[in-house]
Amino acid sequence: MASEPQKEQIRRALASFPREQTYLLPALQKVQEELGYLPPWALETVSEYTRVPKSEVYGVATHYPELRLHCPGRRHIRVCTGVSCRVNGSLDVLRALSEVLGVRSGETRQDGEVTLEEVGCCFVCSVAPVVEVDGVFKGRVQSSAAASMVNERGRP
Amino acid sequence: MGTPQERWRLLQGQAQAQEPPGTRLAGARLAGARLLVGAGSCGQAVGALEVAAELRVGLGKLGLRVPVVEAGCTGMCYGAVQVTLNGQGVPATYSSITPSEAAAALAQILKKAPLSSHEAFLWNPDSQTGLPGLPSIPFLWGQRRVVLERCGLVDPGDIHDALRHGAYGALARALTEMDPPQVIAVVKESGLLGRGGAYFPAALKWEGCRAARGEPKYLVVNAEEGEPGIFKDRHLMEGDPHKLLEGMLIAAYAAGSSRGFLFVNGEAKLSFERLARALDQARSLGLIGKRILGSDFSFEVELRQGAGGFVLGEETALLECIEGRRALPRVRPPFPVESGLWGQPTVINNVETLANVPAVIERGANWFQSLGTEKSRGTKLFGLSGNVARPGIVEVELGHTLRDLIFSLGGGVSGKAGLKAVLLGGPSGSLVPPQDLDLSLEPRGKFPLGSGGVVALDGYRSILDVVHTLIRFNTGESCGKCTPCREGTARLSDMVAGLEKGRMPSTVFGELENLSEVVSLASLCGLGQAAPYSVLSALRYFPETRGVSP
Repeated sequence: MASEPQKEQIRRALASFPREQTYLLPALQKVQEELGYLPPWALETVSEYTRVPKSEVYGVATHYPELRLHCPGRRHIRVCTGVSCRVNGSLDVLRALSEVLGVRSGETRQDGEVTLEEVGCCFVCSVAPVVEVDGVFKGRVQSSAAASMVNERGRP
Repeated sequence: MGTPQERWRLLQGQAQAQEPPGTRLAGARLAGARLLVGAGSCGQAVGALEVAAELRVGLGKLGLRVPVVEAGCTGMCYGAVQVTLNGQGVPATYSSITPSEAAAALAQILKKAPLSSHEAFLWNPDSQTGLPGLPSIPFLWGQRRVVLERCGLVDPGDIHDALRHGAYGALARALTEMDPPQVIAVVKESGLLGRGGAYFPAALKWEGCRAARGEPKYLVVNAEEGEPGIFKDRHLMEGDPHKLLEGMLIAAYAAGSSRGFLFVNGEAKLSFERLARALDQARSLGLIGKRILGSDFSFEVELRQGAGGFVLGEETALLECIEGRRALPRVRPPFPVESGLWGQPTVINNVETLANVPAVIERGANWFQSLGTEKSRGTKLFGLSGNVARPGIVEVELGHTLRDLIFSLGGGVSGKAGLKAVLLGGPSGSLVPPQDLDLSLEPRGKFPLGSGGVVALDGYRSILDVVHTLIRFNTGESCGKCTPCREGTARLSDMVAGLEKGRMPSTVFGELENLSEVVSLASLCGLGQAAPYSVLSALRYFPETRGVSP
């Protein structure tokens, strides 16, 4: 359950939106920006604020791939495995990262430090293969450099 | 107060007066000079911001007050990070600058002198100061740049720079000299088709919306570029956001729309930031809002961000999303021009479509008709990636061939294995065999263009692996509304996986074809209908997928 200050933080964040259904997605995005994910209590808060039924808020929150209902690791690494990256060696990069980080693709490490995921496309195909590290794209990544790439930003 | 055109000239004059001050210490020689760093999302992924920082440090050490601008990409992503010297006559561009080399390269760049082991050129046909001209760069020389004309050569963060380069001139002209039906007539005559993948005549949407009953009328800019392998709209928005805004305003004027939504893909954070800034600046100069440039035309637009989901690119799913629901396509008719957002008349246009509009208004329908082919006018942006020597964004007249794009502009296949196939149009597209490389690239040809993704696949690639990746993507992205797509793509994916592992009886080919046909015919929206194309084209043109050695 959320603490009162956390709930207050979310109510404040929502206050900038008119209480209309059209702002449901922007509101959820805002909450995710604040908390890193969308816990059940936050969905309820959004439902109360936007006056959209809880069931529908849940439907929307589970529909869009970028919205997450579970807490990701402190560090978030996504490897593009779309066709352009794949034919430029992204599967090797994914394997190397998985080894270096000690976590399987699609999972968060037990200590909650890092989440490793595949992504269908990052849309910077011209500098493939691409890895997104904490929201920042890195292009022309070589699998041999995977370890140093993570280390450079402080290996978890 | 004057006509919109007079007001625009006033704005342009003010912008010219604000031309960045030259250098104090370097004297007159470098007056007006600027260094533009190709800092689109492609450039930033390979160190563009670090290069910009090093350039600033280097200039500081030399005592030069030359501004360093974070610009968009010229489309030459293969040469990222690029640095361009501008404001000193013909711009000069240097490719593949790394952060560690940046400061040392300054002396040569400021002189427009060659830089050893770096591609460098001038943006005109002639060569000077030891630098070659455009003909030495096949990637650019083979292009016809209309919508890309300013990308990489202007500051996307400064509306004054865009104004100096003529932005909003076509809008002023339309507002002064043309009434909305005239704008529609010109664009209709030009033959401009939508560039989002469906290639529907842009002006017909505007006309339909204008004629439909209901106020307000909405204009939605579909910048939800979500087709893996294409990144052209991002290049436009990152490199020249005002081009899109100008096209959007002209379209809104023509369609009689007073409210708009600019809906940007959730992953395109840089596009979003640069558009947000461009919108603020345009608003502050009276180019967006009430009584634009003193005319009767008012338009307000809201910037929205997606949250993933390939289906968002489908226009009616996008409308559902804006209304605050799950992105599920609607049944048509009614079409959005009659009943779109909240049941009101709504035009939905792609970014590239709108970016073409200012040039059509400025240079006229006849000029636009002179580009492309008899049936398909104008230029088209294509994204080159995969196993190609020079990946990036190119703009060519419609009717070019894949051979041109990959071998002339793209520099051929990277590595030694030769070209095996081309994926044209992303996950809704087809796999094109080498024998079809000379087909004219046009809408409604043998292979659908999609929104213009061109991914080269070399001889080491397994066609089945590629097809499996695509159909798995389509399965994951299926919104689930209609059964043929939801269940069909999943079954197709399983069958392709079985083929890949060699565990399928030969009867499966017939089943695959049958099911593909069902999904194509019975899916509700275009994405479901196109989902099996890659499977079908692979089975048809690549015998290896049927276990037959080529």
